[in-house]
Amino acid sequence: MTERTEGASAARTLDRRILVVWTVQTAVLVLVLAAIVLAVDVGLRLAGTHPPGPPGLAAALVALAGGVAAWRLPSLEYRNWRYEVAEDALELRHGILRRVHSAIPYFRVQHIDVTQGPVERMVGLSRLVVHTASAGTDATIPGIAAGDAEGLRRLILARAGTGDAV
Amino acid sequence: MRSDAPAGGPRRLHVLSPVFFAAGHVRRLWPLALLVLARRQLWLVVAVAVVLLAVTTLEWYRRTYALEAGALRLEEGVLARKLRVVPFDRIQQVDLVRKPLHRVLGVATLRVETAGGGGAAEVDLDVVPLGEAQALRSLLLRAKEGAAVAGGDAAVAAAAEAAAPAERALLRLSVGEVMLAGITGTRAAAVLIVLGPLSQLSDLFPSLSDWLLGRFNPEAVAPTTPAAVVAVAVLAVLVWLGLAAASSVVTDYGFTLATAGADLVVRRGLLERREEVMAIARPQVVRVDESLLRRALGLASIRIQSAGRSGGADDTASRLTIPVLPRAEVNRVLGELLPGAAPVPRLLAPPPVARGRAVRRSVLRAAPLTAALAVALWVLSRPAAPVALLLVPLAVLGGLAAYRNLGHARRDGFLYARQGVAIRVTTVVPVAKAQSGSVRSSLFQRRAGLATLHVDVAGGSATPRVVDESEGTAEELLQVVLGRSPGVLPPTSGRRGAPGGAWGR
Repeated sequence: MTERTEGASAARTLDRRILVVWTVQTAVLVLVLAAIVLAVDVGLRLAGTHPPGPPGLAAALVALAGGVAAWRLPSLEYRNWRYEVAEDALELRHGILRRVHSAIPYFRVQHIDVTQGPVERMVGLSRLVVHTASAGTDATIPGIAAGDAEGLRRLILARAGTGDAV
Repeated sequence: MRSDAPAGGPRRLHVLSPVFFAAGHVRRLWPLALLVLARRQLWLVVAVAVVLLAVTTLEWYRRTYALEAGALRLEEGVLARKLRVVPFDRIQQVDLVRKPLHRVLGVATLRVETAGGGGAAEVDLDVVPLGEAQALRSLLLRAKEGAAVAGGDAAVAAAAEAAAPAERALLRLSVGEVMLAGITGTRAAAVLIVLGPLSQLSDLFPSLSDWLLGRFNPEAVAPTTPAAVVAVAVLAVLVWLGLAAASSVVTDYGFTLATAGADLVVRRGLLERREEVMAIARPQVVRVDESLLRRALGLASIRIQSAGRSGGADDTASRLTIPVLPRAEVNRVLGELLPGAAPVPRLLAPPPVARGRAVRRSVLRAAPLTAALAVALWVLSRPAAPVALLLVPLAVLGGLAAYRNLGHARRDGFLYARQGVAIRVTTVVPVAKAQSGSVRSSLFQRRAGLATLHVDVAGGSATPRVVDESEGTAEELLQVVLGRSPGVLPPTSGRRGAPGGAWGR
């Protein structure tokens, strides 16, 4: 890891409210999955076959495993998320199993989207998506306080300046 | 030249364009066209043709193009009107396509590829008179340079006035070389791989050859069954290779790569002549591909990717391809495509831990196939099932080959990366063109202290990657990609260079 960031600008963490967003999103996903498993389970039983265990066991197991995931994963993800508005580039570090350190030079930035999902809107967070001329660029910063997102966008665009970005 | 160039007001396409539009509509709606033809009523066919021509004539009437300050301006649409403005400095590549009918009628299609992922900004002038197409093309290319340099109208006009620069041929392929490209190409190789096991089918289904022989008069084909099967297989392979060579000749006959001023020009095609022009400053990535077969024959091919959209309807879009060239020529051509990039330096192999990773990855990837094959063999005959395990040593060999092919180097603003098993791909990225970069590491990579560098380039092509380097090196390379020169790095001593680093030297 490089240690060139001292003094200039410190790495920032996400807004803690992102924990709520991720937990709710994971929980919804788990509930949908469990509902599907339950439907298949009931369907099979009605069709006359006999899957192992009492009715609803599979769905309960899915819900349990998913519940643990929804409880633990967001905090792990949160702990690993850092972003830094460095001198010449935006740097993101995140990931639990697969770690990613991506860096986007400001002068390559084509445009920046500020978006909000329903859960994010409820807790007052925004998501910043930075686009370059490359489809491969992975630069989404979740969990920015809605009030700060516009400022961050302006900061990055100000540093991006103008010029041919291709 | 100047008089022919459409510098004035809005212009329409060639008068014959409605016919070509109509033909295009018929091709797109072929089931409907078949239905009309199936009625076998002349009046119906005539009526449909008249209506179609009326509609396309209206389309033609509404579709105009014009050159305005710093941009190409297109208007089209009968009911819903559309205005498109393509700034010159966004133009990546200009193609001139002449189908056989175009050549007879003296017209051409002019295609303008622009930067950006979507296909929205692409321009298709279908069709314009040949002279006008050529004039427009040179005007666009010159104007683009003018726009890039000064950005003013005066510069555009001056650039447009300048005479077309002289061409210098870099590479010409003979018919034999073009045929060789088809024969050694991936399409032909894929069929060889399929036909190989198929020729063994006669062992699994003894009745198959009997059935074949019953159909095709055994006396006439061959006296013995296995010989007949072999003959059929050989014949099939020959026919296929002939087809591959022929299709390659159709698309790439008379392949010429040349430079004209600041542009790269590719000419190719037997029936449909294509002239593709890309500014030399535009290549984002150059890839040198060497399949096993081509390596054995001392051949390679080169792909040049610009920032335009990739693939889409036409997979030649926004990229130039050199179908085949001798490996000894690679460095010379690379030097012309990316000045300063040649010769490819000796590549550094990743740390030895990466060998184990490569082998494990290869074996893991082969595992599902091995399992499937084992099950299939189990069903056919039980004792044969363990034969599937033979895939495991093959996977190990594949992994070792993958490790041997891994390597990277950097020099003078270029990053070189190589990977691949059957097809070895050497990617050359001008660092100044990189859009962004990232260092990624899976749990397994981190345990071995390894990471993979992704270099995001403009356009839709695959992301160049430096796979399984040490974490420190990957982070260093990321700094290079970002354009932060980390000073002189200590030489990575004690590590062997990857074999076959430089070609033809």
